[in-house]
Order: sequence, then structure tokens, then C-alpha cells
Amino acid sequence: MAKPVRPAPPAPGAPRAVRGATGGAGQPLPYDVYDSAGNRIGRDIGVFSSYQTVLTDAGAILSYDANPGTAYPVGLLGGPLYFDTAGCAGTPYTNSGAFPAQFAQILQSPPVPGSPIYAGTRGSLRNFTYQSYKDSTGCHGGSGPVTNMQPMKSAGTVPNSPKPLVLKAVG
Amino acid sequence: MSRMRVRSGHLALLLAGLAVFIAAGGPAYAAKVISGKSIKAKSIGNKQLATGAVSLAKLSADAKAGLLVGGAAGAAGAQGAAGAQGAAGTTGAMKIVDAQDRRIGTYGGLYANDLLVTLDSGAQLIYDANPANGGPLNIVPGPLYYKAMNCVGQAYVTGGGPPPSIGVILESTPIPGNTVYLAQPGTPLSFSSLSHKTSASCVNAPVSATLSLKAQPAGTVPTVEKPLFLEPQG
Repeated sequence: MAKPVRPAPPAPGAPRAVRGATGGAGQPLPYDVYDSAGNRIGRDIGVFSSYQTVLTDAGAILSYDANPGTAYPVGLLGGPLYFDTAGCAGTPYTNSGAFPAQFAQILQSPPVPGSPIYAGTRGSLRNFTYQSYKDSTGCHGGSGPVTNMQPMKSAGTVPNSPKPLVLKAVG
Repeated sequence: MSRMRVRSGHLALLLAGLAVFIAAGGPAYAAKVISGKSIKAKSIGNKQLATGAVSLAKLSADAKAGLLVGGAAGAAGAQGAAGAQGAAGTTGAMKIVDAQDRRIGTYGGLYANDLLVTLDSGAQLIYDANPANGGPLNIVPGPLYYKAMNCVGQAYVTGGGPPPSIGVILESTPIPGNTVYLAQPGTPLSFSSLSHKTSASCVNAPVSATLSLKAQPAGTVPTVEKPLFLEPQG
């Protein structure tokens, strides 16, 4: 190693840092919906018509009216569900036109607690010839063309939700 | 005198040798002979080099690295300016995705029996449940008004109707790619516009623009495959 003869001149100062990036969006302010017994139903998504709408953790949208005499949601969509196979096997479909697609489809009327809930699941709408269908009385055979069929999924059961419902800020 | 004779003899001998050297090719010959290969390693020492004979510029990078010690660190740069404040959070922080799992925007609420989607630009679009409608409903079809001829300069849209957050789309039946305009906060102005723009063209004609707000482009109508889904963000 050669003997150093002189130091290099000091490096120039670093340039001023660039302006910081724009901050991210503020924290959301979500609300959860609870029944009068303190049971959480799901996330508040606003008012549809005159109904309090709730997105459940299972991915279904339930709609509640203000009637204190019922401890369950209103039955906006009642089916039936169509299948492209016999015996109501495989994926159920509906052409309810629900919007958003997760509005609960409940075959029982009224939709009392414990009734199965179906909700739209991701997928393109289909046209096909159904081979069976299901309503509140059970599975039936049959065949016929159906259009704009939305694939559905099972999304839990109707909870027992005594009213009035209350909103609570999350966190 | 004898010393002078001796020197004269040496000089004669030197001149004779020089004559032979030139006849043999002179400098060209010398250049061929005296190359790097011709110099014996370590044969040129301090004594053979004149003071200041080798400049720093003539040294190789490796040699310089051996000679120079690291300089003092430069001064730290000044702190950058603070970033702009982020956008306000959206209530509920729900997102809207389509049947192909494409994120369309954030959930803006239910608008009558339809769905309000807030694009990242801030403009809100309204989607109904009809799967045949790939585009949003258009409840604010413009036109855009201008204070100047030929639809140049600042555009304005009349207010007083739907919420100003609803996107303005000039095409009556919007399709993906159509420009969405968004009214800007500010004091509404009433003025006589010299031109206005519709989906078809720019029209140079005086038209009264009542309680109008400035409007800026706010993205385009997104490609959507219905149905739409409401999901928690992130």
C-alpha cells in the first residue's frame, strides 16, 4: 500500500432531500351493528331504502327494518336457487338482480333465525339450462333455460337479533 | 593545451558516433528500442526522476487510490419538505370489486336502489343492478361551460342538482374510457358562457351557466363486469 500523500478534498454536501410523498388516506371510521343484546351482527354499510344494512363476516348483506317485533332481517330475496345438475348438487345460482351481489337470499319466509343464508360469490353471470331448483319446501326436479345466473355461496344462518339495533364505532 | 587536445579528441569521437546513429535511423530507431519492455524493473528510481516530473493526472486509478486518503464526509443534505396531507379516509373503508375481482373504487353508499362507487380520483359513479349496463348511470351529463370560445380554458358544470361528488360524464350512455369530470369546491359562479361542450362537439354560442362550479377531469369510466361486490378494504 502506497503511503498516502494528501487527503482527498471533502465531499460536497448531499443535495436537499426531495419532498416527501403524499400521505396515505386517513383511517377509515367504520361502524359495526349490534343487536340489543350486545351481539355483533356485522359491519354497517348504510341505509338501503328504509332498512339498516349490514355486511356479515360470512359475506352476506342483511337488511333490518325498525319493527321491534321481529328479531330477524327482512326477506328481500327469497329464491329459488337453480342448479345445473340434478338433485340440487353443486353451485346454486340465482337471478335475483341483487345489488350489491351479496344481498342475502333466504329461502324461508319469514327469514327466522337459523334459516340458511346464501349470498353472491365472485364469478361471471351464466346462462344455462337448470336441472333442479330449491325453494323453501326443498329440492325439486325440472329443466329449463335461465339467464344471468349469479353464482351463490352458503353464508351462514340468520342470527337471532333482538331490536333495536345500535351502531358502535370500530376500535 | 594537452587537456584541450584530449577534449577535442573526445568531441570528434562523439560527433562520429552521432553521425552513425543518425544514419542508422535516428530517433525512430531509438523509439523502437526504448519501450516499456526495455526498461528493467525497478531500474528507474527517485534519482532518475526529476522533482515534479510525474503529475497526478498521469497516475493510474490504482496508483491514485494508494496515494489519497478518504476525504471528510460531505455535509448532510437538508431535510426534504413535508409531504402533502393524505386524503381523508372513507367511512367504513369498504371497496367495490367486480365479477373479475377488479377493484373499482371504494364504497360510497347506496344511492336509491343503486350503488355509489367512489373512484380513486374522488369522483363518484352510480351503478345499477342491470348486468347489461356495463357502464354507470349518468345523472350529470353536463354540458361543460367555458368563458372562452372553442371550449378552451377552465371548464364549469352547473350545480344545484345531485351531489357535486357525482362524476360528470358527457356521454349519455357511458362506456369504459369515457372521461369523468369532477366539480371542484368553490363558490358557484353564474355567467354567460361563450362555448359549451357536449358529447358530440364544442358549440360556440352564448349560454347562461347558472351556479356553476369549476370542473376538472377525474379519470375515466372503468371497465366493469357486473355484478359488483362490497368487501372490506385490504
